[in-house]
Amino acid sequence: MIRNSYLPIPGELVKVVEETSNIKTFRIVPEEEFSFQAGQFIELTVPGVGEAPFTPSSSPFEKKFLEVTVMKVGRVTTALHELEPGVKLGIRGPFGAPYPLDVFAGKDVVIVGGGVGLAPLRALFLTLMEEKDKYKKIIFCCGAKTPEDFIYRESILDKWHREFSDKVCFRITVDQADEKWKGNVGLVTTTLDGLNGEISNFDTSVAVVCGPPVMMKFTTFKLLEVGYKPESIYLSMEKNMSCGLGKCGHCMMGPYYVCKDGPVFPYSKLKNMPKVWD
Amino acid sequence: MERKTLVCKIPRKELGEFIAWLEEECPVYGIRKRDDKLSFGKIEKPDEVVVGGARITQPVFKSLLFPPREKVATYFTGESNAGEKEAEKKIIFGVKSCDLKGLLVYDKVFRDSSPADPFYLDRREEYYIISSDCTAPLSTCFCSFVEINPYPETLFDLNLTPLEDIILLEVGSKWGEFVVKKYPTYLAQPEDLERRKKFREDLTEEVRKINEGIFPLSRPYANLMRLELESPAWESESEFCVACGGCTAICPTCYCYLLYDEKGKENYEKIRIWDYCQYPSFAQEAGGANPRRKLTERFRHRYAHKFDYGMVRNGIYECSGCGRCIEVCAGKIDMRKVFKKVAESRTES
Repeated sequence: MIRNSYLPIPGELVKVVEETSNIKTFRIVPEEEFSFQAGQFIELTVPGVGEAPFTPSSSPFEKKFLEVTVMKVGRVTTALHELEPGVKLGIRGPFGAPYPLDVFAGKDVVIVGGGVGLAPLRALFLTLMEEKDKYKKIIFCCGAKTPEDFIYRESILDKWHREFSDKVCFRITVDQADEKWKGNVGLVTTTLDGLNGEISNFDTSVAVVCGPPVMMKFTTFKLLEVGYKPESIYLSMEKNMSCGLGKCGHCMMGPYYVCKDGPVFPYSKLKNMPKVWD
Repeated sequence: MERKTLVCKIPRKELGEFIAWLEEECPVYGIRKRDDKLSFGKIEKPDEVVVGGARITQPVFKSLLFPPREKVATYFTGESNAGEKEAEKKIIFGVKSCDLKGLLVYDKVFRDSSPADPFYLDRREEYYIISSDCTAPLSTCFCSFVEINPYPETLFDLNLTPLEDIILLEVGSKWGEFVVKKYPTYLAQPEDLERRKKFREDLTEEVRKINEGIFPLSRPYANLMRLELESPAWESESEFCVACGGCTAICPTCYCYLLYDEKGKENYEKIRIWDYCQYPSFAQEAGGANPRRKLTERFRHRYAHKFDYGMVRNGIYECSGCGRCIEVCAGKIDMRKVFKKVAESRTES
């Protein structure tokens, strides 16, 4: 019998972490076997309210649970934000194409994230860390509006530096500092300044970007300026993904169904498309 | 070139008996004439059946295979909702070539494009298709300009060509062969096939004449969509669109849909309904971003989806040329004329 892709599997919400004033991370334990690859997304259902697309932010190597990091912006996300551990949620997926790790192998990987866009990048980063030796340099660039706006604050500002600084170069910035902040101040694009000094060959380097549309736009332009080719810049596109099957039409961007052909696209596929950044 | 297929014939006056015989096999649904009105539904009396004519207003396969509203999941019961029922066979009688083009598009999207839709697959098995040649194209018809002819060439079990005194029956499947062998028919003679050829040529010429001055366009639709996305004609041609969604509702090749949750009798359920890409919030995201905020962008997207993206993804134009969208439009927008304007816009500028 053919599988019904509309049927969610149940998962129990076991933990809620408050990341910022409007972003929370939800840990869910699927009640049936479930796995995904970094970059793929799920449709998460709040029963009776509806479903919305999220890219898991936890490591795909973590088999007991998965985590999604959610900004409160609409109907489903508002309902999610009101939930306490113990409720049953629905999971459909995983959907879409993951980050092409086979393409990344043997290359430098520059990760650029902004705001809640760090969510899929966390899954990617933790995946890369499982097999560090496969990649050349790894540079992790990220920014937030203020120090208070970092999600995964402890990891990004402290823990990962301790665990991975032998392999990873971190470039962290905030748009506006507070009195305690001692790091860089400037938009996330400033973390790319001087990058061409560190990357010796752009043919063997890829950049992965995720963040708000305006951040993705200017980061992409900056990466092109620095020396990246459009096909080496990977963007996580966010559209109104609904069915996840490449049929319902809501996430269409040009000929692509973002839910099926993406959500990760090399910029070369998007550069001539109208309204890519909207 | 005529394909080598089995073609039989019956006297035209025997149509009622043929229908009655089919009804013995399984229920017949088809195009029927009641109180001078054409509709699609269960055939109750053999003489209400219409074999020729043009397509009817209702897009036949759309509601049958892709219902306006259906339950696609019941949460957390361990049941799948799909693939559970044994299909009871029915005959669909009298559908036209443009109806079959709609079916082809749905097959590509819901059956051939992975993952297949389990609900579609269930229903697709239910029907035997007895199609018929169009014998009276409408002023809105343009099928022969979107890859098909006014007579069916594929996807039928049996296709009927009604001529004055006889009906030719072309076999398209094993079941079709079973019918012409079990029901008393005669083998069509070369002169019968010659008559059919002439009849079909005349019909195609009639469709050409209806569209004289519009088609053919200077460039293929897909190229047109790609090269003329910025044409000012999109803005001027969409001026009278009121975004009612009528064109997509009546379209036999439109398949976009919306999923939503509701509380069922005991469990939460996921419901699928038709959706309309012309609605302002169709592509809007939760955060408010909307890649097709302007009506012109949505209007153009519908054409691009059918004629460029359809070709890219499924290798076909996702349009049947049935002209229902022209017939239904409150703003009197005619797809053919929109294309013409867009095709001309570059030479003008």
